[in-house]
Amino acid sequence: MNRFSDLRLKRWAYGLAFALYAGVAYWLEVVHGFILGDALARVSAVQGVLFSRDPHLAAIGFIFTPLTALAQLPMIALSSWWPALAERGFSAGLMSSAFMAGAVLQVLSMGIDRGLPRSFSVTITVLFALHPMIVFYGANGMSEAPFIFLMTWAVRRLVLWMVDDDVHHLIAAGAVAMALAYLTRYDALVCVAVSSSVVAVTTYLRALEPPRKRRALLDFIVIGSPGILAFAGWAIASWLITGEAFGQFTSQYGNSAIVKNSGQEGPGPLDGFEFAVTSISLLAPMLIPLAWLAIWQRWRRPKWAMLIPPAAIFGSALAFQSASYISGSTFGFLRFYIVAIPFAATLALLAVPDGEFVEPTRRGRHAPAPSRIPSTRWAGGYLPVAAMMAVCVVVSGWGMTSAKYAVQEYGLESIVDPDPNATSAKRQEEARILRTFSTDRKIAAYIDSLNLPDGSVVLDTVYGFGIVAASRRPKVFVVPSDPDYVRMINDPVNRGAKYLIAVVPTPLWSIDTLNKRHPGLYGDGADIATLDMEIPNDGANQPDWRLYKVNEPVPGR
Amino acid sequence: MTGSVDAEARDLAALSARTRAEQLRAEGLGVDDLTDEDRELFLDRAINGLREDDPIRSASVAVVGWQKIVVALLLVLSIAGLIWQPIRAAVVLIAVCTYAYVATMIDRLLVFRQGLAYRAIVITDEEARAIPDEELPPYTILVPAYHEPEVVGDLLAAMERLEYPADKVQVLLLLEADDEITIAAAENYRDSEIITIVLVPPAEPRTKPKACNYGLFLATGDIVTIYDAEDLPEPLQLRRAAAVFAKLPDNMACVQSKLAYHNSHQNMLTGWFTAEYNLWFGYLLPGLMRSESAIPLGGTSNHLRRSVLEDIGAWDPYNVTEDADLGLRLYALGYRTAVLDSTTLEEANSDPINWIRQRSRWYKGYLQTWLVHIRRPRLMWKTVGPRSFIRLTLILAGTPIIAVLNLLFWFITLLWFLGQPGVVGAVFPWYVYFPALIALVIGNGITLYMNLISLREDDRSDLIVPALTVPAFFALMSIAAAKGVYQIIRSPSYWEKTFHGLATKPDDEPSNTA
Repeated sequence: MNRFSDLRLKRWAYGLAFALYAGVAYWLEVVHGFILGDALARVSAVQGVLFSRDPHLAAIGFIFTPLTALAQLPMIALSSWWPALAERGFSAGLMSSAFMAGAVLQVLSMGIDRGLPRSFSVTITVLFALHPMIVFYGANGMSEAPFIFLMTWAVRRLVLWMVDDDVHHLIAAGAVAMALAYLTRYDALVCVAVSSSVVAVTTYLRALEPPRKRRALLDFIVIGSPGILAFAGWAIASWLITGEAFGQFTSQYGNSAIVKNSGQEGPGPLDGFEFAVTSISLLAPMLIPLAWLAIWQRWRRPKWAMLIPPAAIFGSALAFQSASYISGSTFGFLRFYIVAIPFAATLALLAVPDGEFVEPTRRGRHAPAPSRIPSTRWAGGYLPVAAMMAVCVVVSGWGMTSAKYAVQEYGLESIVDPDPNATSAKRQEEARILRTFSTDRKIAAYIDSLNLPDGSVVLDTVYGFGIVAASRRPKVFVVPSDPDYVRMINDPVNRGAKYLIAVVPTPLWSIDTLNKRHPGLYGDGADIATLDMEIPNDGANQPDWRLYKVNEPVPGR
Repeated sequence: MTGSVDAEARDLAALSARTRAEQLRAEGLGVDDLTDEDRELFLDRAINGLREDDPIRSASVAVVGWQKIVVALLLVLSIAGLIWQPIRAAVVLIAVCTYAYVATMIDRLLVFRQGLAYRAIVITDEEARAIPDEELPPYTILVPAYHEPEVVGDLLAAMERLEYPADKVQVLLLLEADDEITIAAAENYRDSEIITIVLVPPAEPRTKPKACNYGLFLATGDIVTIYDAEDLPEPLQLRRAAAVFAKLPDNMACVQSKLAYHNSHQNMLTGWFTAEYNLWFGYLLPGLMRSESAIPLGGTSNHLRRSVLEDIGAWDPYNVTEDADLGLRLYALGYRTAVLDSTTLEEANSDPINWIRQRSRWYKGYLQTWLVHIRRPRLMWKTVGPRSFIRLTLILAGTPIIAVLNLLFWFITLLWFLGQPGVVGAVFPWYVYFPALIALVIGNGITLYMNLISLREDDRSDLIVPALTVPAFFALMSIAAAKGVYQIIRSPSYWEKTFHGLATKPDDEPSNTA
């Protein structure tokens, strides 16, 4: 009967999902040149590690945690054979495809672990995999894909841990998934804390003989310490190399500073809350009904505790993002609430009766005793649950076109449903969004065409990363991660620089170091350079540039 | 042609010792019936048996001809390199060390993974008790002791607790004939029906394996095991071991039980030591068993088929970790070892100096054992296969070397933090730097984490503090390893005695290890 074994099914699921996301990535990034800034910035950072004038790992940067970029090292290494990997940021797309396919695999495995009917597990998995937000973030090279994969993996293992107390789950969830999740996104620290506490409290409550507190503490350490080590290790490395332990929060390049520079005020508690709830509802409108159904199904049933890990981990991630937005320390982006989707899928899988669980590798001594009571109140529920999941997919597809809630996504409309004759303001803005990095690519192509020697064009990558990424000869650029960058901007004339690329110094683009060192550079060349070219940007939310030719050094000086 | 005459004489001696021992057993004669010639014959074989019959497997010579040449060559090359191209040579040396370190680390993790998934062999109490007495094999327990008058009483109590038909157990207390204080203490128990005192004629080397070899000639059991005098074996252990032997194929020549410490709370050192043993016997040994690798036996509680022991030359009196060596010799000759889930409680060394002596002996012995077993590298590679060959190298040579390297790497790290000297940067190019960083941070982290997991699985949350502070234990290990490596060069067979009897009574301890 089971001709198609579970393992084969999983392999196929992973392979198909990866092919889908990688295909979409190719279409978006290589065909249409559409990529989000954060994704391209990481590509450029990885390029700096391998192909800058001074290749070194620290060029990966310390504003973001490093996993998303590190995972791209091997692909960027191949970019000399296939330039699109770096130039168009396709390596980022491949990275996110691989991780998002992993998330799909985890969702499917959650069903298989608990022996659910295969048709149901596959249905929920397909609905998850085809959710438009999941497809987009599987393809677009952002850190959401690894984050979702790691969160879903941790949740899946802890759900099983609730029923079999197998230490392997704690190891997978704590030592691997949670630690890596922190190295993917700072917000995972909250999930590390919450999941560790859940494990400690569970152990305290279900292992009754002394020493209860110590035993709970030990479990807390087993699941939590790798994440804490990742946190400490990254902070120490950042501090040693940049002098700042938490660049994301304290650095002028961090999110907090960017939010301030953008002139955004905090949204206020009520509006902020409204925004968060709407975002979550747009991504997974059936999240609350699914939660109610799952709770109703498992009320006072054995194994009800399986509901705790998804509620705690996904729930804390959503709560943290909402709180950050309300307090004005981060942006109002739909993607920050994306874990609502795996949350809904997990609840969907938990809202139906358990089948036969997979055999644990090493059942723990405090696993709850087996029970003959049926796992759910209602032996059915498959159809309504699948229908609810399907509703999420459809509603999100519509929600992603909202210019208010889906700032970073709605531009896709013009790729998916092109309308060359559209004249509405929204459509025109969408066209500009799609052109976001086209100006950067043109600048790069122009610089490449000048055949300049290495180290002759000075540029701050804080806004100019797209230019370096698109260049076929990144060594031409002198960038902040180069050891001689400061000396170079201090005295570009006598240090052999030929060109300076200056960004328009409006408040939004104010932290560019070239402008800071040479106020007036953008305006008149600050006596060190002469205007060569004016480059207005035709992408959305991108700065205008000016290319300055560095003055000849005065002989004898 | 004196060579062949000698060989003939050796064969004769071997034959006559074994025949004589058989004769004694057949006639039901014991230690009191030995003649002076018997004693001389047995003693000679106990000391020289292995090195005469199978010299290449004996550690009586630490390094053989080609090994000396290789060691000398490596030394000369390193020194010449360091003089001629100091930085390059240092990079090469550090790279080799780092890669060896990383390989050892990864291998240990793989072994642990298997051990965590598959556990030691479990024989339930019911199964153990279900074997009818008449089907149980006769057993001999060897208890070597030296200068330990205070533990004889403990031994008697421990032996009385064993659930095994009394007429099928022979306990031989092996004492050096000139160890008067212990003999005097033992005399008080002369009436005991359980223990037979065997006086081993005084002769060098004064090692535990020599005493055991001597005792083996008087052993009547089909299965032989060793306990230290202060050990507390779990009462059903012999029955469980007998059940494993009955169940498993004949090439299963040895059953190793777990060792644990009863004085884990005496001080920090015993806490660390207990956590380490937990990991080693509870997870790493089962992992080695599962992956069909060679198992270095623990010092006691290994149950062996006597016939096999006699065939392969028993313990090597010149090896200071004769237990590990025996495990490897068994393996190389096609025998296998099972790891049994039954615990013998021992006393953990609580005094740092004493502990370092003991540990340096172990490290030295591991190196000694490794040097013995790679004497015919091609043969070894062929008989055990590449994976086992690499693994036994990583365990025997890797364990002491990793311990020494820890010290070195920490020192370099400290140096780097203190002044960032350029020379440190120069000898750590990226392909060395990143593995070294991984080894230092993740490697030590993983070892600590494996400790935590094993404690969690054994419900030993009382040892959290030792588990978390284990890097200090690593530092002690480094010192011991440095001493051990130094000793193998200076005096390869010198046996550092560990003093026992420093612990409080086990009754004061929580008994959740049993």
